[in-house]
Amino acid sequence: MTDERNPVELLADEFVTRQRRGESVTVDEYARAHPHLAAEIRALFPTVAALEGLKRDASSAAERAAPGPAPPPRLGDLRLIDEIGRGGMGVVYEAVQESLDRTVAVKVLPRGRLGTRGERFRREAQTASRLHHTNIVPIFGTGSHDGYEYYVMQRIRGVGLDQVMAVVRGDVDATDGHEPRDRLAREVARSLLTPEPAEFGREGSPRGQTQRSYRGNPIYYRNVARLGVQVADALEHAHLQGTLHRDIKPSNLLLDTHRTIWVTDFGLAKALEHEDLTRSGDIVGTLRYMAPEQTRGACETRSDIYALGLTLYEMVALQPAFAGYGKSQLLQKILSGGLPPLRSIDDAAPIDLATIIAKACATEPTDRYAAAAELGADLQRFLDGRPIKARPVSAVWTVWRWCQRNRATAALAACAVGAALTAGISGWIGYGITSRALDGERAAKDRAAGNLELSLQAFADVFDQLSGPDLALPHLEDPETGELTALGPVSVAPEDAELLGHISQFYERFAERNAEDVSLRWEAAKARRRVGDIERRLGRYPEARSAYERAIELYRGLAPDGADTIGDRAVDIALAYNGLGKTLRDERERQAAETAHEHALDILQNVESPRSTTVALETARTLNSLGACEWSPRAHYGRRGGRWRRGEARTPAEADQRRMAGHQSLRDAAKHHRAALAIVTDLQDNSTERHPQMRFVEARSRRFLSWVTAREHAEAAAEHDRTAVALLEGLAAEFPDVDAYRFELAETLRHPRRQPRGERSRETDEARRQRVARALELFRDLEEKHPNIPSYRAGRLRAQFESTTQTSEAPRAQALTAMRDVLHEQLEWAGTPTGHQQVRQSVWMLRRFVGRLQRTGRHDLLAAETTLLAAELPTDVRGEIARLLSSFHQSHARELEKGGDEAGALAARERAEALDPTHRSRGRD
Amino acid sequence: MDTPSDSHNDVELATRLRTGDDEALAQLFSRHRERLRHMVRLRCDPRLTGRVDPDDILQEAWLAAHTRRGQLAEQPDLPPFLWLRLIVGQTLIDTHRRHLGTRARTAAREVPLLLAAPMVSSECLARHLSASQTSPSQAAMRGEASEELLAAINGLAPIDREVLMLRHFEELTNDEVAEVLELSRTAASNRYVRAVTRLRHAMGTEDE
Repeated sequence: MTDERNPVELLADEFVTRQRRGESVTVDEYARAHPHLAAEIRALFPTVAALEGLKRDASSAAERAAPGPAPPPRLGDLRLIDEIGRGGMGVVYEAVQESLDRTVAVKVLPRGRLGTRGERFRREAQTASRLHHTNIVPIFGTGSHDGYEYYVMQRIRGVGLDQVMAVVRGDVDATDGHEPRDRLAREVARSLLTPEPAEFGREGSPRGQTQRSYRGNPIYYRNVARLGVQVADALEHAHLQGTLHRDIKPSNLLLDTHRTIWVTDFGLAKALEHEDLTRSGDIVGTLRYMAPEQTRGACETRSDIYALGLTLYEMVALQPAFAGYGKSQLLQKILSGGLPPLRSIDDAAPIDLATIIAKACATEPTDRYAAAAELGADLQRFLDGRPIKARPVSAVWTVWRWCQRNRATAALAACAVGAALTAGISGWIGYGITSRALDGERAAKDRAAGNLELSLQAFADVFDQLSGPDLALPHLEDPETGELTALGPVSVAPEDAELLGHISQFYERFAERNAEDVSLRWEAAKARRRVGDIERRLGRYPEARSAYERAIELYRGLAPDGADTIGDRAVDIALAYNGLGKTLRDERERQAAETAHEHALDILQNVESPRSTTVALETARTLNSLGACEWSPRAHYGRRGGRWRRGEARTPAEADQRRMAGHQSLRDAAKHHRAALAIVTDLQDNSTERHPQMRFVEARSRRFLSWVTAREHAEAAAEHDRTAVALLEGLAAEFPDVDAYRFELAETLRHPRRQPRGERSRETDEARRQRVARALELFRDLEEKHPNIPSYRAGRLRAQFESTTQTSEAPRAQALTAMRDVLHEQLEWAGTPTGHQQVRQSVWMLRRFVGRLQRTGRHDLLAAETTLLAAELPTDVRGEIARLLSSFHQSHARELEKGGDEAGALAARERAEALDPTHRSRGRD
Repeated sequence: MDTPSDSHNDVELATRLRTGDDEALAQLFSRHRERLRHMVRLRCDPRLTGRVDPDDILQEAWLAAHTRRGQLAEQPDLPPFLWLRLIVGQTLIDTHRRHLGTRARTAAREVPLLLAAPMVSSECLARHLSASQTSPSQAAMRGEASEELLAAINGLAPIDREVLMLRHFEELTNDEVAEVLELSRTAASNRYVRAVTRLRHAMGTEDE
């Protein structure tokens, strides 16, 4: 084979390379220079150039997004004239409505964007059209034409606040652009420097003369406040009508030259939903003004207040509140409340104005103004020179300030040099260096502080990326509590867990070097706890346990008694204790588990402020964990196991006593679960939206309640079960990607309520069978998706096992075969803690099944099948499982004896003894 | 100008890297960052749009590259860029698996190992392009032409499509394509010409 390249390819390569370098080259030129290849060149090069063109299109503007090709020049009655603006959700045109001969503005959504939700879009627009307010752009109506959905509104001679701000910031040269829109933006921006007529000559305003700068200009600040009052007023009006805006941001606020502001796009965000925002590529633009709770899917009036606060913040700071972050960092910033104090950016900003804005953008909704009217009133107080109601909340914000100190940069450098770090960590630092270098190209400002922040952010991102909280569903994720990670197993591998362990070590070292930096140490403790969450998910209980213990130790160093009365911090600590508790429960250290959960409960109950939703939810969760300690299948089976070991109760009195004790613990458990249910019910009664997490905790409380009350209150238990299934079916349908919901649903379905003996029928049996089958299917999907997570496999095996014992009609031989298969798979796994649990449960169920066969008198079948089964059961297991298997052989022996097979019985007994020599002393009883 | 074909620096960086100079890895990565990002955009499953930033994936790939930097020394013939590309591709596959689980498209069997990245699918390409039209007029002008081109590209056999994507979108050189697809230089070169010819025929059928 020769090493020659195809001559046409060689030329095409050169052609393309020169084009990429920016040289102007033509096909013709090449064709003429290479006459013998001219035909091929003329045929192929245009295609080559087209490919390059396609690539250029894609890359030049991959950051920007546009909603698709242009709509036709006419939409029904409307003749489109000119594009006047565009946002993530569509393009706005000026148009003439011919029937009424009036100029209107039309917002056109890209074709096909809405899919089946056109109806909903129209409904939202209709709701918005009922809003009549001087500061809300009136909507005339909606329509659809040739696949385009649009709505018609009043044409406002104004310009988006985002464009005005670009001029105010000086991003756009004041003389730039001759489009009417640019001129208008300049004019509007200038108007922000003009005092109200009544203000001429007032103190602070330079008598009738217009000052040129914005920063430090009292007139400008007052105008900002005035705009704030108008928007707050408009929001209040809408809120009173039950309409939320959901997407307040500068581009949705039109400003005219009379300094009247117009709010537009009411409720549209809802109609388009999250995924569409994402697809439009404007997620960052929209995310930037989104309230923390909104990123989790909860939106309330205070979310609009937050967004308005951020807009005002941007106007005062002359820069977007969260400038310069990519999507993932932005999200983190929003959720952690990493907004720098306004006066650290502009020290001339009036204190009162800064305080009002800070209150409006508090991370915790309850820290914000309760109503838009209150915000408006406080801004008015500022304008009137009266005392404002808001109080500085600087404590919340000092938390992130450490990352802006140069001192810390030095520490990071020291850390990097002291390279006794693992590969993972140095890898991270390497990344930090690269990204610093790259960042340097983009902006050289704020080097030290900004870079460190970026590095730590990058680091936090790596952590997130590995540890899970699925960025796919930011609206469900709650990084403050690690909710998703705490509930929904993420797909992680043991290697990830190790890397995370290294990273969190790094966090700790870093924190040690900056010991006075409380927030950093706080982060370090949290990182540890999250490592614990992951280890637990992977079924690595000892590792999980030590991670949680380390986290608790770190928290202890921060708060002397290991507690904190501030809401969020208390939740952090409680999460560590609860994680530890759950791990201990998995390890069947019931007493210790209870102590850990009680500790968490203590901490949560001592929270003084704010008693937020997060605190309440975590309290409910803790109560459920406490209840589960009393009752959970593990603890339950644990007792059973104990009973086998010790033999059956000797006397009726003893049996009674044991039953009583069982009942008592069920009653205790029920108390806890009821309390948890009360909390979530209360939360949902008091909030406008039923946050998915609330529904989730409600379902869980009900599932547990249905289990523990099944015997005493069968009716109520059935009701709880039904509600839990309905809630979870809803969640699973609404959020198909959240594994936690599907897992919980499967767990609930897996336990069909037992019918009272008299009420069993073919129908109820069939219903139970279907239910378990559905659980099995859910578990199968989950397991396929996350083979690393033992609890999915465990669930699948249990459901599989359960399904074999389901119906009384099932051919028993088949059932036994199926059981045997499951048991074999479980036994492969018996060495791990999760596997261990599994086998215990299966053997126990096997015994129960055998017992049922005995009762129904199918000795023949039983003897045949159990013989087969017994032969296949392993004989080389130790400890508790060996004892359980041994007890199986014992009962098998009894069975054979009854059937007259003395030899078989003897063999079975020998097997039993081989597995558990202590069994001999108990013998037959 | 720093074109991809100008691989001199790469070789030097690789030599430094093989002798344990970590800084060289950082430089290598920065040098090719744009091309790699391009690759990620092109091959990232459309279902992950909005969930995963190309930068997120590059960041993860960087970590992986750092951890596995020893591998480069073991494969002295592998161009450093292709090694990075391989790692990015694997990261991308892992990401797909993590987010999409079993719904993740597995790389087609007939594709050589070194390609080791999700294949460019029609949706990827379409989304990649639809994100690009900046104004209605621009979009309208280009709309039809690029729609048609796009349709034609999607109609090609996967391997032809890959060749074109590698050459034009990821800007790989002929030699790099050869390496990635496990072909000889000649075969890669011929395959490219064949793919362009087929594309032209696919486009030309209507107006001829």
